[in-house]
Amino acid sequence: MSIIGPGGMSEYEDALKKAQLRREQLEALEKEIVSRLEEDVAEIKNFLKQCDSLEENFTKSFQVQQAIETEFDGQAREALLLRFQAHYRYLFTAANEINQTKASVQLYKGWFGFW
Amino acid sequence: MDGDLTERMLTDLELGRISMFAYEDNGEVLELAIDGKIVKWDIVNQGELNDSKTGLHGYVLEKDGQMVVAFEGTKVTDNFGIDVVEDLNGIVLGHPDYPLEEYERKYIGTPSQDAAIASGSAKVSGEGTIIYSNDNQFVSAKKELNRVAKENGYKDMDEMVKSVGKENVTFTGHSLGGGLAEFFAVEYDVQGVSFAAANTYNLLSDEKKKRVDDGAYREQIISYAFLTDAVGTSVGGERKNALGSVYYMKEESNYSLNPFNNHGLKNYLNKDQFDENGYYRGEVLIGKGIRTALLFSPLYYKNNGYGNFPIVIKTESMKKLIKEMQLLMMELENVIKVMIQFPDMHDQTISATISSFMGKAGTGAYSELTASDVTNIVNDYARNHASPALFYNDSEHEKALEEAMLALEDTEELISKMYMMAADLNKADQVVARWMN
Repeated sequence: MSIIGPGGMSEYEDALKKAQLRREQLEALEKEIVSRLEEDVAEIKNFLKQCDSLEENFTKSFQVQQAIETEFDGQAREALLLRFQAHYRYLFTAANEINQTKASVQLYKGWFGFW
Repeated sequence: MDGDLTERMLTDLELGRISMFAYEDNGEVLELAIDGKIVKWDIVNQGELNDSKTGLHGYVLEKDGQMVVAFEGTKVTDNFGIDVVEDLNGIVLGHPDYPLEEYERKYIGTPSQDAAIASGSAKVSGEGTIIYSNDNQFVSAKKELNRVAKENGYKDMDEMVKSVGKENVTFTGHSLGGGLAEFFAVEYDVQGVSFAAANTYNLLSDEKKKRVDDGAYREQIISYAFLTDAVGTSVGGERKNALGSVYYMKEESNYSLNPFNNHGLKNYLNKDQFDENGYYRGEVLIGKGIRTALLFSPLYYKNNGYGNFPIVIKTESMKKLIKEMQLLMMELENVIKVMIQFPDMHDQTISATISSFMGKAGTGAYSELTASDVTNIVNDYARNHASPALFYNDSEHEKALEEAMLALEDTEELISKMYMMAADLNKADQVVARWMN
């Protein structure tokens, strides 16, 4: 006679097996989801690559500024050159912030709990 | 282009060929085949300029009431580079006394003064001064020009120039000859077109230097040079020291890295460089800074009544720079578009992933799992628990978008100011001064 109640050992074992199966399925699902999320994150990051032209923009603006420096003279030239200095700051800040955004695209395992 | 007008006007090709003719000894008449027509230039009476001692050579030519004075440059020899440097030494490192036949200094008995007296290049005057004498191409050119004027019934070259009309007199030449041409174009206040000219700014009097600095000859003297030409580039290398307006020739891919190899006049006379009327095609001329082509040759502008052609060309340059900036603005607009689309792109990607796993929960390999298990796993790897979960820093994204919009606004403003400058470069200084205040 079993010391386990009605339903007996088999009910407990069933529950145990079910929990074990669920844990295994959870682990497998997590693995599969993470793999997919990694692909997603790479794709999202890649989407932002279209913004890389901003850094080239910086170089091209510098070439325009150099052209003004050599082609022109007078007060207008000086003012434009000064204005270009401010322009670079705008471009640089924008490019920097976009890079930060790009860097922030990632999987944050444990990050939410940490906060 | 007005055909009749062109016939009366000197073109880049014609002046280049005349400069080439200056290298020939004992010339009699110059016949040029230009666009299928024979253009004939006569040498004025006794008009060959020659001084074997200094190496000066050239011609005074005439055609249809126009006079051209062409000077020979340094002849190409095996020691070409060295010769050029030697010939130019005097003018590059020169002084306003250099083109004077004689100049006077106080005699203080220095060893160099005594050496000059001993060598015969100076003599002591009775007034306690020492008189130096120069013997170089600038001195002999002046003498030769006056001689030719006398041979043709004038007191001197000043009188001959006045008689022909300053607007009808052009000095031209290549290399050292170009330097002589520019120098005498300033001296006689006439037109000048030079090729790879040596810079003669240092030889001008203080008064003439000031006029050059004020841009007095910008419309009278046109200098063509290759950026890679060691001699010609010195014309415009020191921008403020250029006597007139300097325009640069576009280098072909086969140009030599040796700067002296690009100096020869033949490099300025390739058939492909000219349009059907004998002007340099706009695309072979570039601004030093922008390295993009001009629309037309400066001589074309000048001959077609653009009295302010340097301004016209600068306006073109500015318009080209504006186009560059407009392209940059378009790129910036695209960046902003990407940044605006970014959150949607992210949400769609993540939502699609979540949906696909939601469908799997409770069935097959995931029979024991539910939709909330999927949500929990995704959330565990996300930055927050929004719907859908975020995998980037949204406040950083907002900041980046804001900065990109500011950069766009700034670019637009910069372009609008460049437009104002291009619309009227003469007034640009006032416009920009107001903008700054």
